[in-house]
Amino acid sequence: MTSAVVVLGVVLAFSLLLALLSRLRLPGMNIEQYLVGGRSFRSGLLFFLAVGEIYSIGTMIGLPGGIYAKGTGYGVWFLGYILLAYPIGYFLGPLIWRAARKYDALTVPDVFRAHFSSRSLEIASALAALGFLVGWGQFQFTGLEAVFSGLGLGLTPVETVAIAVVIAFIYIVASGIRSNAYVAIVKDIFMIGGIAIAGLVAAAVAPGGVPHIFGAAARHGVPSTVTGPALVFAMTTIAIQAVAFYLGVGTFLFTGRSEGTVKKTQVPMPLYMLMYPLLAFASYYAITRLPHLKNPNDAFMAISRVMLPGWAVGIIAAGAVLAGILVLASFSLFLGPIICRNFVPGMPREAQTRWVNVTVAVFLIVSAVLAVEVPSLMLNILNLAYYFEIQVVPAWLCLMFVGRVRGSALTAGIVVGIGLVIGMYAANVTVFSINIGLVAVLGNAVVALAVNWLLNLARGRSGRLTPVSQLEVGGAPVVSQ
Amino acid sequence: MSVRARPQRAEGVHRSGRSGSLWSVLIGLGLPATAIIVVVPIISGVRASVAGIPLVYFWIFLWFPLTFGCLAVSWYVFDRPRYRELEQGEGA
Repeated sequence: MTSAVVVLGVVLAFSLLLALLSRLRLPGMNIEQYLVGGRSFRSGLLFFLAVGEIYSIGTMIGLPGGIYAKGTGYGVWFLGYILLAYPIGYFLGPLIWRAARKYDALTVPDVFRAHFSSRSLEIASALAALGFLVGWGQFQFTGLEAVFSGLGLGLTPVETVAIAVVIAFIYIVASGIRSNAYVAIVKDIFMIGGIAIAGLVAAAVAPGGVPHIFGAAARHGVPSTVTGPALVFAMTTIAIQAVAFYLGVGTFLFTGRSEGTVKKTQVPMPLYMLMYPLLAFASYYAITRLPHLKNPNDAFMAISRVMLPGWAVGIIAAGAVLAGILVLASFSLFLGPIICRNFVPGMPREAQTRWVNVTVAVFLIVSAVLAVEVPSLMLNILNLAYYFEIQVVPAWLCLMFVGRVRGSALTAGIVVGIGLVIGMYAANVTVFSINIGLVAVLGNAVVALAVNWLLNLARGRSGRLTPVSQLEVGGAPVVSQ
Repeated sequence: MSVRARPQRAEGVHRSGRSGSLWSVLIGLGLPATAIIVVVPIISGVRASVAGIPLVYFWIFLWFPLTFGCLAVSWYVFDRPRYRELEQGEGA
């Protein structure tokens, strides 16, 4: 595996150089440049930033691990929710951008505070985001551990996460979200290249080729059909996660230079998913070729090591590691301002960049500790993180389409939703195999409606807020791109 | 989606608030959503395969390019011309 380590090292060094170069030609780095790129990204850069954050290490390590451990139901869920998220993002993404522009927002809680004039809603939505981001951080670190252990370097989990933390931190301090967008281009090349190599080789070396990969997996107890509770779980998870996909912490949409840019960027997104059939071949081949892996998260790296020469494993590892670190860096940039602006409002603007860096360091360390201390199947961590993110969906939909809802009612809904998530998850309770997040968000919406109705009875009808969908289209002209 | 003009307009902001025509929504969102939410549960228990790929996977894989096609139609046929019109109106 020496050649694999060399390839990985060279790619990581190049990515650091690129992050530092991305700062050139920038006159200054104020907080808006740092977090949302001055809202100036054209569709090309926004596309790479978006796919850089969407296709995290979960794609290369999490999905094969999920299929290996849980079968086709997890595969259908993972592919279905991402695919459906793009059409939803095509229509809702511009509204997210419009709201952020109108309120000069750097975070989602900024938007809620300004629109509903509600400090409590700002804090509740910040809590939901916090739950999501820490879970997502744990998700990335767990994947990074799987990659480094797959390379056989003999690193301890703590050493692994320490390397990732340092690199992510350098990306961030280089030029904030802008360096992430540039590194994302390198990551995409290696991620797609690595998956293509693994998938094509799996299809070539598997006895009988593609038709027999799935049949052989079925004989190993992983049928290619989904029925019963697994189907209910998959479909309810697809439905709610596709809606929540951009609404939770879709702050990267704020970087677009116009609504048209955001909308146009969604169009080619589904084509990026064409790598997934190849990933599925490799994942199902791992089930038959390596049926007794102790940790399902190791499935993709393990099958790659069996099939491929060291340099090719290095390409795969580079794609996966860059994906994981890039998402950690981006999500750190979402979290920092949530702490410094939403939990601690009134901080001088010039002090915010410094405190964002401090918060980011704490976030990375907490997520890393969770990954080391609470090892789990990656897709289960992903699901848990989404349970929290989903809770802001009712508030977003009201902001976009409803004129008379009080911020305090939405706050009550989010608090109940988060409470239901924690309670049901801790007690391991499910309702007819329906996604816990969906159950909780339905409770969230019912409570919000009830509290709004009661407040209307007690205080009279609330004033009408103009839904964002009824505001004017804003931003620079799209056809000039 | 209805459109309501606001009495005051922020600087640099266009007029219409519509985020897409009905046709754009039906093609760009309706078709992919039906393919996933309605059709996948119907075929997910079928043991058939296409070119060696299980039917449920084949269907989802097929909708990667088809969803791109739906969004491309929504953008180039319905929404992009509207954005261009808004830009020209603003620049006039």
